[in-house]
Amino acid sequence: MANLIPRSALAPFLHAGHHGAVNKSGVILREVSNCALAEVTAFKGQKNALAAAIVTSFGITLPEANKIASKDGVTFVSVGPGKWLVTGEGEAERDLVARLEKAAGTLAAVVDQSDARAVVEISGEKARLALAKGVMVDLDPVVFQTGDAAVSFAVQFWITLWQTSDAPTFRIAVFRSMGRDLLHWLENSAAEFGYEI
Amino acid sequence: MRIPCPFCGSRDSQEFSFLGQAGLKRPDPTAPDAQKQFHDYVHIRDNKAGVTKELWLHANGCRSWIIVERNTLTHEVTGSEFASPMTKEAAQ
Repeated sequence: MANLIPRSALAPFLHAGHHGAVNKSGVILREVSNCALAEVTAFKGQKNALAAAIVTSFGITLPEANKIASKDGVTFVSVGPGKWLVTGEGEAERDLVARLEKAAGTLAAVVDQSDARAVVEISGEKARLALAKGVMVDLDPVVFQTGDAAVSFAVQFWITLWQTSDAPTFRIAVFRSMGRDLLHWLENSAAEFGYEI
Repeated sequence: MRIPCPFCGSRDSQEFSFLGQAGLKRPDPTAPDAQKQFHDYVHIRDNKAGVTKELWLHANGCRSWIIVERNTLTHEVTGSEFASPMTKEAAQ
């Protein structure tokens, strides 16, 4: 088999440094590269058995609707009934898909999405305001907090959004070919607050 | 218009796409009047003024088919449920 070299979805379009409004840094943008991605879909009637298998293998209780659950670099993001987007970073990046396939066995379909999605991290005190210009779900901290997730619509595309810290830090996964457009919109949206890449 | 997705919660209608009247049953193709039954199944709709049940797809969301109860006179949405029992089971 050909030896495939991993290539970042966004590196050619990320220009390191400070941009937008001068003397302000309200938003920090970065690509989440070195991150394995997979989608897990429970087969008919197997959701509870899958949940038990994931607890055994990953020590993670599958998150309910609009939530995430993390442990040891692995994050499960709820994306639909019986469906989860899973990210693996650090040690977990290398063998995420194999571990999921082993755990899921005949209980679920595991599809490698590592090279199919681009993931962007948006943080900083103005991150919420920058996102709110295009994201259709309510991001007010009263209703959207660390550990919350949403599959929704932003600007022109289907996004998976989740919040990983109170900074706040958000992550958005989109189809890889949409990554450049997502970044373009984020940069325009964050410009008035000043942003760092 | 807001639509309550049984999985995601209240969302803007732009996230959904509309199919049409819910609850249609595909006729038996071996019935003696199958042609008439299929004509009605494909073309004839109630077009009610009042509470209707409609199929919507949460296309830019959890991608579930849902049945939405909507009043065509007031546009008031009074409820929703998963269209498929399999999806309902997976959502629990």
